[in-house]
Amino acid sequence: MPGSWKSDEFPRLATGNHVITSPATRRYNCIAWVAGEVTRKWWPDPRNIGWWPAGVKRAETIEAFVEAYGTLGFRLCYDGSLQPGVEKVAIFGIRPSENELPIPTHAALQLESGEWSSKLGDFEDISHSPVDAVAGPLYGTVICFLERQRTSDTPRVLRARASTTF
Amino acid sequence: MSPPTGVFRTHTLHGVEFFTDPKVQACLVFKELVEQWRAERRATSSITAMAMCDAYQKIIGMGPDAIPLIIGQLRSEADEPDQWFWALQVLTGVNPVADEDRGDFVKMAQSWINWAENKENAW
Repeated sequence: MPGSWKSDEFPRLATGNHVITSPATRRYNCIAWVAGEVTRKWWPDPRNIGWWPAGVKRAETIEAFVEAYGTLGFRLCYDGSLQPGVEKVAIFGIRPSENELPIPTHAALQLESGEWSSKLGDFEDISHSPVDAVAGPLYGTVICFLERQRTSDTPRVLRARASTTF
Repeated sequence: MSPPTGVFRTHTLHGVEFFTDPKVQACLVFKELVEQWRAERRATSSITAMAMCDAYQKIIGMGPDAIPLIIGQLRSEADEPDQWFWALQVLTGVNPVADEDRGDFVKMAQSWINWAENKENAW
């Protein structure tokens, strides 16, 4: 079944490198999904519409996103390689111009299988491999990776979703 | 034939002119802009980027006439409300959403619907 997105949004997504794992919904976004939340959207918009962790600067910067996931125990790491017992996050961004810092656009979470889980805007969740299968004109590229120890309760929602194909 | 004051000509078919009143016209424009907005924003996760889309800004540009249309849209979206909160904040100058409900679009939509029900006599 094709997803709700148009092919030019994710030119690297192709048959064989992703699976749709949920119906489309507006209830949460990629940033919340990676944090394990499915009932609210995370975003540091200037009008306080999105939820954002208390004490973290409401700014659309990579630094603020790293800090937001830091409240969940994630720390910067070197790469997105699969390591037993370690859960990783990829933060994507786009540079408005060569001399400007990247603006965050997307986050993906590494599953225990090594695949990555992404919520695509208000569209479906997908599992994909490699991580940059969702890179392109909309999300840009991976700017940094974060990691934390994988615990038994961390991916409750994700375990359920990863085993279901829509 | 010139349309009466306050009435819009929509189209001509087989030489017959069709008209509509401003409220219906605003509703038609709004519905079209909603469709344009959803196509324009694509798979973005950014609340800010969604609000900066041309179609969304045009909805805000409709002014106070857009408020009841947005509230009606929120009602119709039930448990999948869209991001109408930015526009409502700009158009009304208020924000009835409790801090703890930020990001939960279902609760936010209900807050705005409740707010509107208290204001509906004014519309």
